[in-house]
This record gives sequence, structure tokens and C-alpha cells, in this order.
Amino acid sequence: MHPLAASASKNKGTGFLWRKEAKKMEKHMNNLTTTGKSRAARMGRAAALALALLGTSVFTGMTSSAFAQAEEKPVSGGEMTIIAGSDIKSWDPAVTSGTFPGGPMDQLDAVYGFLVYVDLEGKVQGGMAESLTSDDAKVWTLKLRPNVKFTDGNAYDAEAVVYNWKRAANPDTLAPAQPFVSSWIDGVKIIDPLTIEITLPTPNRNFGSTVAQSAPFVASPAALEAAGSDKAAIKPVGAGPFLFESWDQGISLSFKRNPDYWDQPRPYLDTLKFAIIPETNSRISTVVQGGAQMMAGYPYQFGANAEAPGVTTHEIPIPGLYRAYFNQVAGSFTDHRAREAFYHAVDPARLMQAYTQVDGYVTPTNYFTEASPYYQTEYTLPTYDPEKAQELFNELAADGKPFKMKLVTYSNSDLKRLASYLQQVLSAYENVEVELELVDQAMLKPQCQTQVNFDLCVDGGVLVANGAEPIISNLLKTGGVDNWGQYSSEAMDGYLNAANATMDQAQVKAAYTDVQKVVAEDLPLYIFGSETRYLLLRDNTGGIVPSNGGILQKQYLYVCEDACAAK
Amino acid sequence: MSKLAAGTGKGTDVLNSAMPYFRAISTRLITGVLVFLLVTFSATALSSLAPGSAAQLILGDYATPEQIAALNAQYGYDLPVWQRYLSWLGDLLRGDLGLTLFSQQPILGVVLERAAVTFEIAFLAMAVSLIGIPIAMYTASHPNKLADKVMRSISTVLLAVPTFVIVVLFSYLFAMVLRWFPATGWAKFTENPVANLWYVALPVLCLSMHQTAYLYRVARNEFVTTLQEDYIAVARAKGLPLGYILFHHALRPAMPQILTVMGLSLTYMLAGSFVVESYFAVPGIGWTILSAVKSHDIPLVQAILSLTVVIFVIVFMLVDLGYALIDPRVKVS
Repeated sequence: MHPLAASASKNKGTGFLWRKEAKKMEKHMNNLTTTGKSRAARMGRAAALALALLGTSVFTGMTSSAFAQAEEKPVSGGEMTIIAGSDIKSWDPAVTSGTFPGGPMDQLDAVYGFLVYVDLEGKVQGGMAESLTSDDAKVWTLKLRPNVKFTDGNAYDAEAVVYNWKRAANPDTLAPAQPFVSSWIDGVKIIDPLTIEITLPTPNRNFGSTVAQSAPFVASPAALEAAGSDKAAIKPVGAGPFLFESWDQGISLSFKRNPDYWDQPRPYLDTLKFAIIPETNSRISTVVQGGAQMMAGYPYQFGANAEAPGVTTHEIPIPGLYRAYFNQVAGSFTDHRAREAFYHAVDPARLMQAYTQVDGYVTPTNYFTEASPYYQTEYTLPTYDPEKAQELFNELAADGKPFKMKLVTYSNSDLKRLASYLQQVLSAYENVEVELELVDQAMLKPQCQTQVNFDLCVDGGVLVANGAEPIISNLLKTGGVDNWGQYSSEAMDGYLNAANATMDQAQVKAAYTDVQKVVAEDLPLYIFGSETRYLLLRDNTGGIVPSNGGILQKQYLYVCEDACAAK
Repeated sequence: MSKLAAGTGKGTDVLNSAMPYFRAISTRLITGVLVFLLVTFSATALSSLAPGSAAQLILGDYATPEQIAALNAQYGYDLPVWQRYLSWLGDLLRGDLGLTLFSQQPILGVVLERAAVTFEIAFLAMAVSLIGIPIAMYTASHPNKLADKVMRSISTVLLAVPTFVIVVLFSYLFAMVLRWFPATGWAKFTENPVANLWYVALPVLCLSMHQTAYLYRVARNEFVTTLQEDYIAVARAKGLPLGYILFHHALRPAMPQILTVMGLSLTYMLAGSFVVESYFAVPGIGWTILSAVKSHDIPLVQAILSLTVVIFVIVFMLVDLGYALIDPRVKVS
């Protein structure tokens, strides 16, 4: 262990941030001693980490992104290409999804900018707006910045924001956030051109983060009016850091610097491009060779390429869960013993190894991992115990309910390995029958979410939430949009509502402890792994400020002439 | 016979000799139209069977089935297949291929621009693969010698390795290890010819490997057979140089077979372009149709298929006519 990391570890135990920064320090310092980075980069990183440690110890309230900004010396000008795995489908600001860097939401953010965003600590920060705050979780105030204009010259004011919200609340807009926005749109009141007051029907502590993640974009009302109901006709007119330049469908998108952006001298880049490259290996080789600046992914995908000359990685320290859905309304998993037997039957560490082909994964013990302020050790998920699993399978068979499972997932190579491993392991037990169904990726959601045609449904990637909500309610609440197994529990709904209804952090933690108690008892999901996202990037990339689960704030990005002094 | 009558007679002869060609072209064009209709209708029909929908993609993960149905209705995707097909056919006859579903670019422009990329790669790969012919000439004239054995072994290996494996190997070797060529991307020839050649090198190399080996095997076998003919023995007995014999007496009899392989290779090039273009992120029609199918951009899929069918019909027609021009024994009918 690096000496600085060791000293950081000694000081653990003075709160969550201490633990987190110490862990970061330990990890980064160990990396510095083992990887062959340049001296300048090492010195810069060491300085940044030392400052981060100092800053955390006195806790001044600065965020990690603020630290990053303080250390880096941004360079104006230049061009950056971010690799995206898929293209956007429209410029509609109300239709957004995908929090991964380079994803569709990232591309819209270049033009519109986030109204507010959630930082790495899970706090709601001002973006295009100055702030979104509340004292009681019921009445919220959105303060806008003065003199901000859309690129068509219209004011980015309260009228424009409310127009966009009303449009999102209108079912005809077909906005995914329509149920959320329509639940409070009647309580919106314009106080003055720069102030909006929102009175919610019931208190919601997570209102700000839900706005940031579900309804964050505001487009020029004039541009939206001009397009009418035709989404394809919407022209991207926002007030964000970049101006739309060109879109070659399925190939690339290009943006140029918005000279009138409110936060001068940002954005630093003259040109920002997104290259659409669906093939993972091609994305990696493009970054390694310098054809693009960065891509998002996971270390197991990067492999030794992360050590290539001129290449580095950047962790986005927001944990995400690998999970599978138990069908709670039909089939074997409606019986609690079947869900428990499944947990006992499969070693999650081996499952993750089969999935990623990398070992050393730590299995989460409940919904919130060790990195979360809501982590607890009292209520844990069942552990690997093949004998107990066989007992339960036998018990089910004796009761005339033999364990039969249809496993549905989509046909990418990682998930195929995972599915085959599960089939192989489970088939070794007596009184167990496993059927595999691999579907096209586009079909997974209709089959699992809409038709509920599965016993166990495995979705790819991790479910990332910067803060608990809105993901946890989407997953575990009755009728939640990500609750594919249709799990329903009054107790769970009550605890989730309780966590939402208060601003008192102690009460929130207590409510989430209760949530984890119910998760451990009911086993609504199969939680088998946890991981953070990473960027594979050229070492001359500066200004990495992730938000909302990983989306980069484009106004901070810059390209150093040589390797950047700090990341 | 007067000069005029003689002239008329000559014209009639020319007309008579050209008639089979006109008939052959007409027949193939009519067949081509039928193939065109069948393929484009099948594409419309199959698009209904593909999982998901454009509306699902546009609206994202959280859209309800009702919202998806509403948007599908807005695009006319809820109409019966025949109605959608007729509507598209009508638009095509009016010369209006419409706009791409998402970026709203004119489809005709997109297809032509991207077809030019694919044609450039296919043409260059075809040109590279022609190197198989002189190699085949040389090894066929020195059968079972070291060069022949080595070339046969290499060609067997190249034919056995699928394009997607070659693509991965070459990308790793030339782009990541040696860094001679870019891993992905494209530059237009009209904007920067040097950069264009740099970007096109790896895709062309990958696409031509299999084809070079195939062309070599076929040409070698043809040359070996031809070089055993009596008239070649006579030419050798007369003391003609080997090079002269190969180019003047052996090449032409082997050409019909080689021409067939080259014609068929176009189908391989287009199929191979799907893999090569996707891996190297080259904006050709192979990659475009793959992403259009995934994103349910049916008008774009239809346009690319239409172009592909037209190209295939023309190429096969030219190959058929080429037989008759090269070998007078072949009748055009």
C-alpha cells in the first residue's frame, strides 16, 4: 500500500466522506505505484488527492468536482470526440433516457444543459438554473440565472421552463416523465421571471434529483411551437454550452461552442463531436489509437488497453447494481422458498466471474453497498449455501411445486455466458428445471416488463443511481417503472414513501434501513454484483465532471496540449 | 447491288447481331423489376416482424404501450403491410424517398453518399484482389513447386478464416500494435484524398483477403487446365516465351470463370462490408443498413435495398453479356 494511502486509511471512521476519500486515496495511490504514468501526472494526482483528503477532513462542503476544478488548468479551444454506443432518436427535450456518458441524454445536454444536476455526493446542484431548494420537501423554489438566453434570442426564464414542464405533463407529448411532471404541474406558480415555486401534493425529498434525472432539459418554446406534434421536426435550440452543427444519422453528431453561454469562459472546447460506434472493441481501439478522446465502459471490457501509452481511466464513483428480476406474480418464484433457494444455489462471486471474466468482485449484501450512506449490516441477503438450496428445492418438489425456471436475457456475449453459467449450476441440483431464452436486446423490455413472460429476467449493465431516488422507487415500489417482476409490498411502499417525505437525514436513513429489512425478507430482486462506471480516455483529457449517474458536464471539458497535470 | 442497298444490308446485319443483346437486356431488366418488387415488399413485411419499434426507440425505456401505439400510428406503422408498401412505392415513383426517420436528412442524399463509400471500398478491394490472377498465372505455370505450394497453403488459410476474424486480427495488429492505420473513422476523398486512403486501407485489406484467395484458387485451376491444352503445347513447341503464352493464349479461355467469380465477389463485398464497415465505423451502406434496421428506420432500409437490388441486377447483366463478348461460343439469349 502506498504510504499516503496508508495514512489515509488510519484516519478512517470519522464519517462517510472520510471513508470514501480514504478509499479513493488508497486506490489511486496504489495505482500510481503500479502503473507507468508520467511523473507530471503522478505529481498532479498526488497533489489533487492530498488536497481532497485535507478538504474532506475539515469538510468545507466543497464537492469533488469543485476540487477537480480547483486543481486543473483548463485550456480553451480544440476539439474533442466522445464515443457513443448509440445515436439519439430526436431532439425532444421531454424525451430523455440513459445516464451513461456518451448516451442520448449526454448528447442532448450539449445543446440544452441540465436545469439542475446531481453531483457525485448525491446533492442537487444548480446547472442552467441557479438552484432548486426546499425546506420542507413540499414547497420547492427554482431560482433561474439572470440574462440567460436561448440561442434563438428568447429568454431562458420562468415562462420558458414552465412551458417545457407543461408540455412534458401533456400526455400528447409522450414524455416518459409525464406521470411524474403531471403529478405536480398544477402546483407550479411563477413568482417572477427568475423564480418558480412548486408546491407538491405530498412532500418529496427527492424532487430535485428526480427533476435532474427525469425532466432536466428546457428548449426554446418558439422552436417547440414551430415543430408542432412532429418530434422529428424539433430543432435543437437550447441555451446549453454548445450549438448544434450537424447530425449524420447513425454516424456522428457535431456541435460548436456557444459563444453566449452563461458561464464564461466555459465551454472550453471549440468543437465537440460524438462518434457513434456500437462495437465495443472498435470503441476501445479508437481511444487507444487516439481517434477519439473517450468512451464509457467497465474495466473488464478495457483489459490491458487501459495501460496503453497515452491512455488512462477515470472512475465515476457512483455504484450501480447488477440485478435480475424474479417474477412475483406467476411461476416458481412466487414462492418465497424458491427465491431463497436461488440465492443459496448460486455463488454470486463465481457468477460475476463468468459474466465479466474477471475475478475479485465483492458481492453486495443488500440494496445499498458499502459506498452508500444507507449501508447497514443488520439485514443481509441469503448467502451461497448449496446444501440449504437443495433442501429447499426438495421441499418445493415434495409440496408439488417443483422448481422450474425460464431465464430470459438478451443475446450479447457477456449475458450469454452468465445465462449458461446459471443453467449449468442450477441443473446440477435435483428437482430443478431450467430453460434459457435469449432474445434480441430490443425485445427484452417488451417480454419482461410488458408481458412479464419470464421467471428470472436478467438485464445487462448496472442500474446506476446517484442517490437513492428515483431508481429505488422505480425498482421496488408497487407499479414502479423498473419493477419488472411486479413485486408489491405495502410495507415497502410505506418505507419508501417515508424516506421521501422527510428532509431529516436520520429519518431517511432509518426508512432506508427498513427498506433493506424488507428486501432481505421478501427478496424482490436477485442482486448479484455491484460496479462503478469508468471512462477509458486519452491522458490529455481534462475537466471530467460527471453528474446524474455519469453524464459529463460538457462545459468543463478541455484538451491539454500534453498529458493533463490533474484529472 | 447499289451502294445504298449494300449500306442498308450492313445496317440490318448490325441490327440483327445486336437484337439478341437487346432481348437479353430487356429480359434481365424485367426479371430485375420483379426481383426489386419482391425484395422491397419482403423488407416491408419483415419490418413488421422485427422486435421493438421506431416509436419505442424514440420514446425511450419508460414509454407506455399506449404511447408507443400512438406514435406508431402517427408514423403510419400501424397500417397493413400492403398499404405501407404501396405508399412507399408511390413515393418512390414520384422520386421522393423522404427523410431519415430521426435526423431528417434527405434519404436519397444519405444513400448516395454512403453508397459511394461502400463502392470505393469494394472497388479498391476488388482491385487488390486482382493480384491473385498474376500470382495464379505464375504458380500454375510452375505447378507443385515451392511457390505453388506456399501460395496454395496461404490461400487455404485465408479462405478458412472468416472476415470477422480477419477484421479483429488486422485491427489489433495494424491499428493498435503497429498503429499504421486508424482503428475507426472516415475522411471523404473529395475533402482529403490522402486521409481517405489512410482510412480506407484497413477495411480494403480485410475485405480483399478472402477475395484474393478465392480468385487465386479459381484462376490457378483454370490456368493449370488451360496450360495442358494442345494449342499451348504447340505454342511452347514454337518457342514462344512463357509470359507471351500466358497472356495471349491462356488468359482469355480462363476469363469467363474469372469473370463469374468477380461478379459473385460483388455480393461477397457487399455482405462483407456489413462486417468491415461496422467494425471500422466506416459510414457505408453496410453499416447504414445495419443501424437503420436496428433503429427501425424502414424508409432508409427500403432505399438501400432498392439500390442494392438495382446494382445486383446490373452487375449480373453485365457479367452475362461479358461472357458473350469474351467467348464467341457463348450465345446471348
